[in-house]
Amino acid sequence: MTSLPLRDAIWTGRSRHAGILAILSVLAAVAIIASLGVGASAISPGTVLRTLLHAADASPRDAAIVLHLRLPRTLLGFGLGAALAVSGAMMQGLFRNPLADPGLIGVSAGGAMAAVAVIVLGVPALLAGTVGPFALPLAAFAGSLCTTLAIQRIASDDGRTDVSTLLLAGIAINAIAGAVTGFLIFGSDDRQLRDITFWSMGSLGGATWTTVLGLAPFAVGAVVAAGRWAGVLDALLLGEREAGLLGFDVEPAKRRIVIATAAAVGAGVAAAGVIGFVGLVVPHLVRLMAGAGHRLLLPASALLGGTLMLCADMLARTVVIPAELPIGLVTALLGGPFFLWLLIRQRRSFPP
Amino acid sequence: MIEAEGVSLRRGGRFVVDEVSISIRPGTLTAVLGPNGAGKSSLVRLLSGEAAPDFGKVTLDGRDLKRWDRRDLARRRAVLSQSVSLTFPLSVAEVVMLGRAPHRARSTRAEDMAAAEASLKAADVWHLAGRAYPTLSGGERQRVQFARVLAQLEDGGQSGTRYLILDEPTSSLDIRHQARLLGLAGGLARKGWGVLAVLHDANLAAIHADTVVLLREGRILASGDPWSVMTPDRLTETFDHPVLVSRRDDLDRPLITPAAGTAD
Repeated sequence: MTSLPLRDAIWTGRSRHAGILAILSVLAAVAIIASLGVGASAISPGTVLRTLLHAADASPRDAAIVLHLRLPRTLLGFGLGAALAVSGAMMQGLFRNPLADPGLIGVSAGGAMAAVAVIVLGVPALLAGTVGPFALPLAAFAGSLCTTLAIQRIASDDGRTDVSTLLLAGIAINAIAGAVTGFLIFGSDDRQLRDITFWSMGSLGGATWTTVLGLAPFAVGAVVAAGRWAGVLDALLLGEREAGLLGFDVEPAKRRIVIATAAAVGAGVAAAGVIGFVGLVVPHLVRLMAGAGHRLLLPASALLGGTLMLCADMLARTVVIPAELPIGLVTALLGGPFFLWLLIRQRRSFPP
Repeated sequence: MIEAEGVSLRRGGRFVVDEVSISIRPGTLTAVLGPNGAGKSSLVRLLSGEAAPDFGKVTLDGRDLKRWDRRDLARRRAVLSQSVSLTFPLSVAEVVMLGRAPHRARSTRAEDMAAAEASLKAADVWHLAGRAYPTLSGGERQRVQFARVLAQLEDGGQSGTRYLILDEPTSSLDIRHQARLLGLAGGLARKGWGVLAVLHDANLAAIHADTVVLLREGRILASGDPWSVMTPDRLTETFDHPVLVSRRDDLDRPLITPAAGTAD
């Protein structure tokens, strides 16, 4: 037999996986506590923890700020970051392309367009009674799903996805969605206009317990489901053909992954508008740290996505106090250059 | 036995495989030779169950491939495709462990690891186990993919013949690894597996194959043991290029030399 340490290092790597997840969990916890404390009225981490654990003992002011203002916002931000990052990771695996991102390829814009249409045109009276508060998430989900399916059709040929077609299709779809949104703006009143601006730039400012509950099932569902697809996503990295030869039912798996991705992105768009680049940057960082195996990539992306989203939100809330920046601007400012760096690096390592 | 009976496959309005009958027999290494575009890869897709024939049928142990459960099939036959592209930084170990996917829920992690380790060593890539796949050379990648398909068929307790289908497995390998890979495939055949290899190098086929099949324009031109099939006339007809055949010095097998023809 070969030396056991070698085998442990190469094969199991489980302790290393556990280590990475533990570090990311600690970071996430720190970000959550910081996010509950940071803002126009700063609250110390100790007070935050006391308030969380014994709400009755805390001052009414602290309790109000932490539990009613910042907790929903923090949960929304974390859930959203996790959902977007996991969606990005799944999409990149599905398209076998590290540049796939829900924002770049138009999935977010498609969802936003559908949501804006619901804001401006309203929900048909017949449906209003049944879908009620879920009208926006459902519309954004439907918009995201249609866009994902369209992109899959356009960019995939015989199981292979062409990078440039994928990104060019994203440009076209973003343009179309932008144009349709523009038309809708013509027909909107002042209040709707403000809503639409909020959608197109992304913000966690509208966070309430209702938005958190609207997002939760989709975000949690996508993250949990993603974990079950780690095996098929790994196999898909070799190509659909190889995945099929390895005994995976590729077509149904692809369909499920597309639906879960669209649901998570759509629910995220419904809750906070278009927030780009999280789905691109986070899985990349994780791959740099820990390789491309989905068993670690997916949970690690969820943790890191939530953490980074909270950091971006803290920036958005604090740089221009007492006003706040749309978080979509912050992620684009940080993510845009990262994306460029990635393109240049890819060019260098795989010259055309 | 994997058996194709009168199978045809139509692509783009013409038959790329045209009424071919061929079998992969347990205990036999079959080599398929033919010029570019002869339908070799299409035949591989039919025999692996990846493509369904337009006419005829392909069976494994008498059962139509269409009726096999995908995962059961994946434990019985593995295919080394001509090219597998992987740009994500999976480690070599992770790639080979993917071969264990069809055994999930049946084998323990220790068994999977043992199978992967044996396969890595057999394909001479054990020393690369910790490397990221995209950093490997073309030949190393091919050997890793070979290790993956070996790991896929490794199964201590299971009964039933295993079938290994190799589509140009030596295209990126140096001469030592070409000989090694086909020697290993031949050893597996003697162990009772059915092996089919599409090859471009007629001499590798002549050395290692028990049965040689010549394919041209989607049809089988000849099939049988190397001495009976690899005649100058047949090879010349198959490849549309003059071919000389003599006897090897080191082995009682044909030595094939393409004539030094220049472009005419």
